[in-house]
Amino acid sequence: MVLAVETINLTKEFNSFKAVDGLNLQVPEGSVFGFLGPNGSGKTTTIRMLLGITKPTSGEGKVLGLDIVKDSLNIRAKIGYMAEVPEMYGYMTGEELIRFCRGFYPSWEDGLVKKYSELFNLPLKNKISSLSKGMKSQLALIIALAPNPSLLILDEPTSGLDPIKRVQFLNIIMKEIVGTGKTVFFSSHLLSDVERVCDRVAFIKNGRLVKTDSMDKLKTQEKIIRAVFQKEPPPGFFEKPGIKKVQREGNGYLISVEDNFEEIFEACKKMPNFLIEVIDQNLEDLFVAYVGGDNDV
Amino acid sequence: MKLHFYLQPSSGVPIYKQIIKQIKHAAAGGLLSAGDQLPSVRELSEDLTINPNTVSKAYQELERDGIIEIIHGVGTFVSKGNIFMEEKEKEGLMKNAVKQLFTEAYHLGFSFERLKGLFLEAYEDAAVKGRKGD
Repeated sequence: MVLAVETINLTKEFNSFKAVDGLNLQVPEGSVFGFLGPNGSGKTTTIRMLLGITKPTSGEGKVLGLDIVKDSLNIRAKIGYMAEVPEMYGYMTGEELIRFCRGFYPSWEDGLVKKYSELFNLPLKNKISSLSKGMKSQLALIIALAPNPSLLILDEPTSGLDPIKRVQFLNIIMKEIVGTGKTVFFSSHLLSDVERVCDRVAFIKNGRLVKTDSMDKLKTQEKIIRAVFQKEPPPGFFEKPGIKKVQREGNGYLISVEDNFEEIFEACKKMPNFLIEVIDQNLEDLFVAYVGGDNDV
Repeated sequence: MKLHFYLQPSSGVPIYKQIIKQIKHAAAGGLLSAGDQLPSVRELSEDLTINPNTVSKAYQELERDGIIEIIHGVGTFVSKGNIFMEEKEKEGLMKNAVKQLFTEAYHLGFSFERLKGLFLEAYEDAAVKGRKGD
């Protein structure tokens, strides 16, 4: 498996605060990777390290096989990046900003700029300060896509867009980037978007990786079994690999499973029971389960 | 004929499996006939705003099972030859539905007798409608 992004024990401290703490990430080439976590969990700091905007305190990272500290300029020329709040020169027009940016990218394609600005119907002759939030996001995306990058890094890309623009935006990314074998790494709180488009996700909390897996595996393995047995299960019954939590619920149990679901489910069915049911977990449920909770910042 | 796909991205069934199921059912139920063309990976991923990798995965599995044929450079088609759902698969679907019924009945505290009454009532109803439809 070729990796588009890899980090090994990547750490960033601000004074004594660990914003990113020993992060190990692996983003396969050609995937759409969702980078998820609550506010202040270290997502943006990680992205800034990948881009070389911030230097890691320790650990290492590679983007497209290049070292994030030594080859940072090279990396930036090869990837497309869209910041969470695209800060752009308000006094420039869209056209002027595009002309300004194209100089930094050897692989810039004017044809792509034309194609996307027509698609978005973006008024490029207007001053950026007069554009709406959605328009600014679109302009930032055009600039991120114009160098025809093999990796696109997006920080909360769809948060400022209305539902129609969001679908348009995601479709462009799917068609132009993923459809041609390139990689997308993005952070988002819009979990319904992530659920639709991502191959893999990683959950981070307090700068640490809590869970990373393929979307399909999460869907099929992460479930809760609700069971009311006819008599108490034998001691040790719940000590199976894959069971992450067991709670009592009246005279029954809620068994949270993260792996080996089929096996555990079969074992529960074999026990004489009054009731067995499976509760599916969507991405929002998993988000709360993995990174929600009391020690939030 | 253009099949209308619907997705539940937040369900516990992976999206590629949802696509497989819909195409299988449409083919088995006669909604799609042999030789019908399916949307391309690109078209379907755009229609549903999903990852093209997901559509490819679904199509590959359907091709392996002999339900569709992917002719490179031409398109994706429903296979010639009969597509039928295996008896075992049909039974599995029915079993799930029945199980759901019992789960619901348990939560509502229904006795077996009361459930049986409702079951037979619904059965009669459906049978009458079925006869009228003939």
